[in-house]
Amino acid sequence: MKLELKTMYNVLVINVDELWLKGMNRPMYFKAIRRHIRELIKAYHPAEFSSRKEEQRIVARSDTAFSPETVQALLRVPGVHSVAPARRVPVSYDAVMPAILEELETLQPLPATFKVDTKRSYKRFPMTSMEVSREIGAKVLEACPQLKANMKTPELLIEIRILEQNIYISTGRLKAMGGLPFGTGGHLISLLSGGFDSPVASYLMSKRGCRLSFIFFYAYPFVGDEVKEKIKKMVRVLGQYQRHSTLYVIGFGEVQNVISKHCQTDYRTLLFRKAMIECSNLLADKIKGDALLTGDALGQVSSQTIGNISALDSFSKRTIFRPLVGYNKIEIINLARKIGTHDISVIPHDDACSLFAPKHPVIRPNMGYLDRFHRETPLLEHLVKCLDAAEVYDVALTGKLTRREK
Amino acid sequence: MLYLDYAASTPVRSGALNILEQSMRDDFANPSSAHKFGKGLHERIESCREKFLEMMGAGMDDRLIFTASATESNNMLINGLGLEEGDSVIVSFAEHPSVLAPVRQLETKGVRVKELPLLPTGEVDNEGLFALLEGSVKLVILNHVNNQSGAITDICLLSREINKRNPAIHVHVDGAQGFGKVPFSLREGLIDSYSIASHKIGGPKGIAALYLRADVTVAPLLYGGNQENGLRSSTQAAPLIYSFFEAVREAMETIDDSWTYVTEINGLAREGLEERISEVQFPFSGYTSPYILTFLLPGISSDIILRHLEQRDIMISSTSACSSKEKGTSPVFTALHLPDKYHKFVLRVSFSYQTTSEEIETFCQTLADTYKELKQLMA
Repeated sequence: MKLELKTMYNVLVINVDELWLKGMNRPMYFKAIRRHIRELIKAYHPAEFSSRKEEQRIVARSDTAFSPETVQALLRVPGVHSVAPARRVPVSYDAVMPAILEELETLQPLPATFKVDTKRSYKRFPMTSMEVSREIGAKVLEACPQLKANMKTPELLIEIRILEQNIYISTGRLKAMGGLPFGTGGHLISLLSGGFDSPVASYLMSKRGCRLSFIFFYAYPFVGDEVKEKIKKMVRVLGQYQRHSTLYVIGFGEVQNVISKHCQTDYRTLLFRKAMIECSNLLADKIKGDALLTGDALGQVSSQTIGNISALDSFSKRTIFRPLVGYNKIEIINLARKIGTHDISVIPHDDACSLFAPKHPVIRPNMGYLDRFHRETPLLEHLVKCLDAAEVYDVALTGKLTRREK
Repeated sequence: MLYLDYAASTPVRSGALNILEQSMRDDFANPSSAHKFGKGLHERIESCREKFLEMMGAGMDDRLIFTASATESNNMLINGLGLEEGDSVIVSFAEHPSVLAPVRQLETKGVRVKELPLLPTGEVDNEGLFALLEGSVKLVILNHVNNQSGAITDICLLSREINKRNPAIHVHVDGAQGFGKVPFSLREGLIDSYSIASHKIGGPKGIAALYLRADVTVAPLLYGGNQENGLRSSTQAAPLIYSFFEAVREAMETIDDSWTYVTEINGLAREGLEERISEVQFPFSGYTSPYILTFLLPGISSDIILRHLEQRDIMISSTSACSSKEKGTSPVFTALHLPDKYHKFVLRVSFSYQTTSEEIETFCQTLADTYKELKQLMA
């Protein structure tokens, strides 16, 4: 899904999402998203650039044209509604048409239908938006007689934005992730496995402005490092929807061994999940996480029955977000494709859970048994040890992983 | 650390290491240089070459080329014979990738590939092989010792029999696991080429050799300064060659004693495993090299066992296909007639003259304990 731009653009008009919701928080949200945008462009764009707030948009400008990679990366910034590679002209009606003609030149061959859409936030401009659209529309028809106007479903949308200091013209506005800016949604500990679900859940919460710290329970020596490599590949993608994030790889083979030795076989998988949640809470204590995040969907596998989910919740001191709880599998897979994690999820790997999997996993757990197990088989020491021995990776907004030294 | 993966690679013998160190320090000239410093190195390389060939029982005009790896030697030979569309190659599908991959490349150019038939023990099905030797066959590749099954091929006998039936066929032997371990002399056979790996017999990595019979014509892989008689242009790595030769010399000198000793070690290992693990199976029990022992532990994926052992600092080998896309089957094991369901349980240990009986004892006990524990867990 590589982005291609028809020509070189030195201006990007970045529209911010859900602004009308913010009220008093607006300056804070703007600051957060502007920071993210600046850091991103700095990482991707080799030259100097400016990013200014113009009315309710952020406009990035540079003498060097912005690459498609940069534009595509901006679409992954939470809170960005859309990005329009644009042409900038002075605030004068006469300046508009020449720029439009230049733009149309790059779009050859032209599609069959078009529409002009004008928004005027600079109220002192001598014409209304409707007037501009109408007049420019007529001029476009004159210049390109093969075009037909279509108000409902135009193939080509010519957008004119009249602001106080500049007029921006674009034809290829790109839909971005939307949502809320990074860091405004709290800090979540995201439990990652190699499947389809947890990455999609991570994306959904990124979209809501949550900062994520990823935790992966690595069942070495029951699984080998192909799983770890797969998770790192996954995080390289998911990290691109964050301004920065962290990956904690927790060696969990020992814990799974201990649990298996002391529990009824049917409760194994459930108790592994319980231990993972406990460990994730310990991590949250350490790094100030507000809640946990999992890819659980209702009823997909045994540990995701309503009985098991409720049981696990009762053992967590923090809320567990499960954004996929209402999704169908197909919907999850489609979303995985869209966000770029599908092809990584399908890479085969040994799943520790299935290696230990009981033939008849418990569906409606006996809470008395779980409580008793919790009391009689304290895992705290083991979990603390695992956490201390964790492999930690810092993840940049480009997705690059850097191992943190001890 | 308990190392039992000698078939993969070996520590450098101390004699060879000393020579390597000294030579790296002192013998830094280019052996192709015109001055006496370079010429001296060149002479010594030639002396090594001559003695090497002598130790192999080579004929008067036979040649030995130094390459960087047995993979290079195999690639050079297979690509350099000038095989064309319509020609056939007979090769075992249990062969090492450095043999199969270049052969598959030839296949894309129209060369036909026929599978060299093996018995269930891993040994060559001689009659089956002879039946395939029709007119279009130009190359037969024999595996002196197979690195997975340990099966030994009687390369002298087969090369003579093939020559009887069709003298135009080139017989190439992949000798990486056999050279310096299985006693043989080129004099006893009609082998046309033979590849040797230094790091399998206690020499350094980065150097290897290709033996060529006097009348064999091979095109080079590398063109340039015409070193190695035009057959392998590259600055000759004098220190590596001297060190390699020293390792070969030592290996050849002790070949019989090592064989006897390692046979004992192998026996101890087999017994040690049989005693402790009733489920253990040894699928290849024909004429195999004592240096390699392949077995399977049903029920537990071999890579899990490998990782448990490595946690206890014991290094063995598994070629489990668990990490491959088609989970669980390997074409090499299929060629060795191992049923699909067993592929993911195969483990291999390999020994050297340095392996002690204590190491074998520790290995067997640890493996047995691990296997039992895992079986309980995964039951």
